[in-house]
This record gives sequence, structure tokens and C-alpha cells, in this order.
Amino acid sequence: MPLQSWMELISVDDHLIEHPRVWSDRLPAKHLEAGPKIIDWERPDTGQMCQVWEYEGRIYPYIGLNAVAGKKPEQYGIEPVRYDDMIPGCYDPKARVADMDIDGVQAMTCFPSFPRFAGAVFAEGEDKELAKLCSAAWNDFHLDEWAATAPDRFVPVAMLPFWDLEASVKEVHRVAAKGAKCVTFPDLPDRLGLPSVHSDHWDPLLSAMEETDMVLAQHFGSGGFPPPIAPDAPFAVFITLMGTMSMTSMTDWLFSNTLYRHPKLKIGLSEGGIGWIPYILERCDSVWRKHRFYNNINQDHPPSYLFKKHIHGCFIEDDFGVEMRHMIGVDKITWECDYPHSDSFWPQSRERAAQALQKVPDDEVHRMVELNAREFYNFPRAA
Amino acid sequence: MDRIEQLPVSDWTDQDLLTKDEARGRLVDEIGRCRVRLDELKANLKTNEADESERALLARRLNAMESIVGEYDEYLDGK
Repeated sequence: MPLQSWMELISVDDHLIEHPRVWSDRLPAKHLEAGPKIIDWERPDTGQMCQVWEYEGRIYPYIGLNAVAGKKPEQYGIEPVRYDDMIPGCYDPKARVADMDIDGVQAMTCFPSFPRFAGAVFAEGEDKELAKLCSAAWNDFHLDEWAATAPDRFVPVAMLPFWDLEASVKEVHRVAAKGAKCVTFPDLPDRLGLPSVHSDHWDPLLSAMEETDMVLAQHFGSGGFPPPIAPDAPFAVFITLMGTMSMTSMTDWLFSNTLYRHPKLKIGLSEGGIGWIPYILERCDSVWRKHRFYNNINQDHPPSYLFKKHIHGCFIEDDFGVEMRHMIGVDKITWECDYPHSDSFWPQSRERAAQALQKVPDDEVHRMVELNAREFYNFPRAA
Repeated sequence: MDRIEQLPVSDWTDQDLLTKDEARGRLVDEIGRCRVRLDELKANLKTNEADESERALLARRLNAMESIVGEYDEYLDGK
């Protein structure tokens, strides 16, 4: 069996639901009224009482609180509900560890929910000082409370006040000193009204990431830009195409000059799958061969050169990607289980991984499920 | 402050989380499978190191699953 029992599964893409006191426990008293808090809210269309986040007077009805007990898979929707309706592993780190034991998963990388996957909700804040405090408070919650519950079970994540470059650089160094291993960053920053990765705007931040050796994790959708689909297309089209956002963000990087200025930068494409990588690399290199002469792009190296140096992807269910692993690079592939979303295979993640990797040699399996993640994220096995 | 209803835009609106009902159903199935496999390993007299490792992992899982499935029963009974 290629997935051996001594191999530890490290997932690089999972999620947590912030408990109601994340910000009220940490913000200064003068900001408690405007800061994020859970309130009871009557849904206008149905009259259903829900728990929702309120931040600066804005209601955020769709915050991941959409676990409705009794729902069947065919009834999945986006209704907000209450914490009591969620499985505790969503918001309680001890319960999460218990669920990981059940799932045969050693460690997880938990992205935010209410602030969105890279903290973009705070970029919308009217009070930018409060927004920065909120961002830092999430980091303190994650590093001091969530990940600290079981340091060998959680790969510590941090977010940035990315609308303020100077503050972001400071925050990178602050969270690195507190033990963060990766920083979540919008996959398409230009779609949030910020400079793209083609500009030199982000250089100080990217240099800080190199200095601290953390992974810049770009979760698909974190730039707030959905796949362009027909307005009347079934939601299935949207779900199917979400991974193409990772394709877009990766292509941006591969044709930018930015990575040549940051040779040690590590980029993780979170939840985007891997099967598309050989195609886009072939396409990028083909375009580079034919069109580089009149483009402001590097003339010496094809885009695939940058992929090999900087980028890794992850998969949860991607048989084609596993089959194409040598074209991607076995050392560029990591595994994810996406708990607690219903896409996850919990409590059978380990068994499903074993099935997906059945025809893969042991050493390659070990690389993809454990060793690559431990190396990228500087997350060694506990002594 | 005037309350403004936010547009229903999230990073991924299909964030369906595992429900307690679905989680319980998955656990019951998995507990059954886990017990069968543990019995197979116990019945095999010629165990090697890999079998021992698998047995330890399964025992840990079984214990964890049995300890929480009851919580979901209580919740669902109260609904």
C-alpha cells in the first residue's frame, strides 16, 4: 500500500470558523462597538433567526455559518445558521484535533472564514485603524489560541493589512516572530483595487516574506473575483471553475518580472487543484517562445523556470493531476483535505488519499502527502 | 451607525460545512468499517511492524469517533 501508516498527512488547505469572541476578546474597548461581533439577526426573506457577524454596522449574512443540521447533500445552500448547528470542530481547536485524529490527518492549515480567505473584509473597513487592529487580532487569535492548542497539529497562518504596505511588512515580521509559517494573500490583488503582482509595489512585502521564509498562500477566490460565468448559469459552473482563478494568478506570476527580484519567494496555490498545471505551463512556454520579443517579460528563461523555483499546488481529488505528477514535479505537489467544508472526505480523508495514490510509488506518496509541506512550511515533525 | 446589509458575496459562497447530521452518519459508517478492520488485524497472528502501526492508528481513530458520535445524537434528538 503506497500510503504507509507511518506517513503523516499534512493538509495545506483547511478552514476555521471564528468563534464569537475572537475580536471582542482582543480589540481596545473604544473599538468594541464597531468591531466584528456576532448578533442575532432575522433574515428578511424567511424570518429565520440567525447568528451573523456585524462589523461597522454592516451585516455579513454569509460567513460560513451555513451548517444546517439535517441538510442532505442535495440541499446544500448558503443559509446562515447558528453556532450550535455546526460541528464543534469548525470553531473549537480541541474538537478539530479530535476530528483530525478520526480523519487520520496529522496537521492542517486553517484559513479564515468571516474575514474572507485573505482578510479582504477588513480592506473594506471605513476605519482603517480599526481594520488593522482586526487583522492583527485574527493573527493573535490564530497563533496564540488556535494553533497554540496543538502546535504539532496546526500549520500557523497569518493575514495582512495588505491595503497598507508598510503595516503589512511590519506584520510579516511580527507574525513570523510569533511562529507563523504562511501568510494568506489575495490571489488577484488588482481585483481588490490594489496594484497587481506585475508592479513593483509589493517588493518590500515580498522581500519580508523571503527574509522570514514563510509561504505566500494564495487561496482561490481570496481576491474577491469570481470566475466569469453567465448570470443564469447553474452554481455548478461557478464551483467547477473556481480553480481557474489559481490558473490566472499563477500565470500572472510567471509572466511578471517580480519573481526575478525575489528569488527565494515561496508561493502556495491553495485549493486550486493541480491537473491544469501541465497544460498552463506548456501554454505559457509556447507563448513565451513566440511572443516574448515584444513583451516586457524575461527574455532568458521560460515561465516554467519560475514555476519550478517558486510555486507549489495542492490537491484533494485530482486523479489526472496525480497521473501527471512528473510533468508538474512531484516536489511541487502537496495534499489538502478542506475540512470542514462538505467537499472534504472526513472521516475518510486518509482512506481516500490511499485510494487516489494507490499506483504511486511510496517515496513519491510520502513527498506529496507530508515531506513537501513540511519543507515548504518549515513544519518539521515534533521531536 | 446605519445598518447596511452586505451584498451576499463571500470568497466562496459554496462554503457548505459538514452538518451534524451528515457528520453523524459518516461517523456511524466509519466506526463500523474501523471495527471490521481491527478485528481482521487482531485475527492475523503473523503481524509485522506495519500491521502494528495500522492497528494503533485504527484504535486511536475508533476511540475518537466513539467519543463524539454521542454528542451528535444528543443534538439531533433535541431538534
